[in-house]
Amino acid sequence: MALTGMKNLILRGVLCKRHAALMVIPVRGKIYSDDYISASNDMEDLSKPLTENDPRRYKKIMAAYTEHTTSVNFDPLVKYFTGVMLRKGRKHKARDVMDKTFENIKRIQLEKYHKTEGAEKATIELNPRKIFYDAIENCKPVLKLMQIVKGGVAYQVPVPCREKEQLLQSIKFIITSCKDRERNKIPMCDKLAYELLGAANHEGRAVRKKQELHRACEANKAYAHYRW
Amino acid sequence: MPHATELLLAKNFFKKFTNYEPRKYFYKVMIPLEVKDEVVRRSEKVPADPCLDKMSLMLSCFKEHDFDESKCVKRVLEFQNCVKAAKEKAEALQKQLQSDFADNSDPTKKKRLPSRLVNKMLHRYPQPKKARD
Repeated sequence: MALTGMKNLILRGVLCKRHAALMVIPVRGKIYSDDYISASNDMEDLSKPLTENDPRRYKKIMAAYTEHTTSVNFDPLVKYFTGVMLRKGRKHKARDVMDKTFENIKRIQLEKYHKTEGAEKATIELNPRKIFYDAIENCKPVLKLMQIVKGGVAYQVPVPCREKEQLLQSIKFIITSCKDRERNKIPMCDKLAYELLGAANHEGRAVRKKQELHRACEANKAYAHYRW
Repeated sequence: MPHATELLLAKNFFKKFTNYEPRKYFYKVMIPLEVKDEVVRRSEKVPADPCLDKMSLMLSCFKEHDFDESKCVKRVLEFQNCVKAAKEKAEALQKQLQSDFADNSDPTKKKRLPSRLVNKMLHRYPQPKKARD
């Protein structure tokens, strides 16, 4: 049972606190106070000499994340993507899927590269990370639907989407379009590779999902002024 | 039939004409007649710029091109810039409202003080105690 559900039951008097203590699931949260500053993994930033007023001179520093490396291959967006994709805390598995996805993209693009001839060769993008970035950029929705209740009726109101929401929504579009029952036996890394390649060319399910959202926003255009 | 004795013995002979007399006011002091040291708090919300016209233009462009976003890059950029500008404007206004009333001292800028600042002012100059006693 989730912690919030437990709290409600306690408030209602169904359970006493002694019962709840046995069933409470630990929730992860920030354990550091504001005295701490987060650890950096940026080599450029770290190689510079400290200035006189640098907070790193007098403030405590948090422990670094396990996935924060100083490797050349480290990418914050890829890290974020794997974090959204992972289920039940299996981060190793999600990271393996991500690596295999990039490998698959590279293989597919190289195959295409060797098959084509002439001037078309230069147009094929071989960098999988660039394809990944393009795919996420192409799936970002401009608007979102917000439920607003007026006069007892709930309206779906189109409102502008913030940048962070856009990023998360585009990643969710890509991941959910890979997770379907029809293609259950195909490994995730293959599906993700095809989805990312398609989204980079404005194709595929993820892009269509974004367009559907825009279509719904267009249909509910008349309610746009209900926001205020 | 009325008797003369009844009329002569009546205490208030012209009772029904009392409304011509000067009125007497009786009142009880329930609440002290003075102004409180605070006013009702009201939320200071800055109305956001809607950008509704830009949004409708963008959506109509989407509809024209069958929701292909690459053909409406200009409209999308216009809309996003509008949203960004509106947000910055709202933030600046909010900051101005939250600043101390030394900044709002110019009467031409703002005629009506927000409730928070009025409370601050009233707290600084409260009702004199003599009036209360």
